[in-house]
Amino acid sequence: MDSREAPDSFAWFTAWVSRRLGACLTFGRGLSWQEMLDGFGIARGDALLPEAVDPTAHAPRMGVADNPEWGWTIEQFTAKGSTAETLSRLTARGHEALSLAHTQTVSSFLYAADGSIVTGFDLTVPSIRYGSDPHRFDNEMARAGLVAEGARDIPAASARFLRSAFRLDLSPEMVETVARVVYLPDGRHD
Amino acid sequence: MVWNDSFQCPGCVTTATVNWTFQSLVRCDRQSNTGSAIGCAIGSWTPELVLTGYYSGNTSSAFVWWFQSSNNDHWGQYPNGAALTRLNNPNQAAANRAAMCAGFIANPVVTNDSCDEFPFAATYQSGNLLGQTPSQCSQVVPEYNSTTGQWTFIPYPGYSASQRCGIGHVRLSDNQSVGGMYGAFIQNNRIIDQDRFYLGVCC
Repeated sequence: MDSREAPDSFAWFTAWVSRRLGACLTFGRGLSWQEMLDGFGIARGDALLPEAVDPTAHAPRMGVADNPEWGWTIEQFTAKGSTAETLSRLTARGHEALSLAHTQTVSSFLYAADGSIVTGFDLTVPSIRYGSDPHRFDNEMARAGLVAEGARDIPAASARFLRSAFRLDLSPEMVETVARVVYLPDGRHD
Repeated sequence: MVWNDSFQCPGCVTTATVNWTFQSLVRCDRQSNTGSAIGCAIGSWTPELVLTGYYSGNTSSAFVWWFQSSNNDHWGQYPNGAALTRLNNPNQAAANRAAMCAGFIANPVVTNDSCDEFPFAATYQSGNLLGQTPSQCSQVVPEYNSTTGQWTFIPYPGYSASQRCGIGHVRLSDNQSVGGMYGAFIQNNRIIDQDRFYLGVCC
């Protein structure tokens, strides 16, 4: 493990994921929030300011945000960002994108570049791999504690992995503050 | 149980009061990992999680339907099987899934094949908590014909209807979709640890 990081430094992320019963975070390097929406096939004009959203509505919705390095989306009970179609669109013009999905049945990581899935794995059962180069991040997975046997704190380990592999530091501000919110088009979870 | 709500507004002379009388006991709690900090539910009611996507090719929904229908326990299927009960312990759920998916070998006919455990790892009926091992589970590949809308289920050798756990070879995105439906159901129905629920598959 990187000597700079404490083992429990992402305990907040585990608590956040558990509290909301799931989360799919999708990041595109160098993309704006508007370009993230393009990758999801959602019209920019459909984006609402966060305060305009009805908090009691049950329809699936997604937050979108950006900073100078990354654009990202936050889903709760859906994982549109983790589909091959979305990742392909996000990376079609030479970008790279990654998606971390924690659900009640499966948790996974996928990474895409130049329009296709390069690598990915099941966060709970890391021997299950995806993509054209499934072992690309083996060293970073080990550093993050994602290949250890026995009980593990999966969300915190996944956050450590993003730091190790992409220098992407998740913070409470990143997941709680979004620029816009959109309702997902089909309105269903499947 | 009687619940009283009072409403006031600036400039109003009187306070409006609404009295709610519930025939059943309402349970309110502050349990974490439920989607909101506090909430209430009618504890005597057993809700049903309805998984959608069967007719649109969701391999995970179809796998659940097949296992519920084919195996003797009929887990979660009303009225043939016992209700499922939620396990609200993420670390135990992860340990359950790691145990039941150990040795999982992706099937090349399934795009982005993922290990789908049923009963869910986040229930007390997880095979791991029933003392089962992966080799004791029914393993199956659901295949969807988008032209005819028909499903074909291909069990691995050793299948028996008496097996108490199932492992599906399903698309990762479908597995995530069902996980999302379960999460939304927990939040919308205020399902806390050890709460019972039924499970159906439809449309």
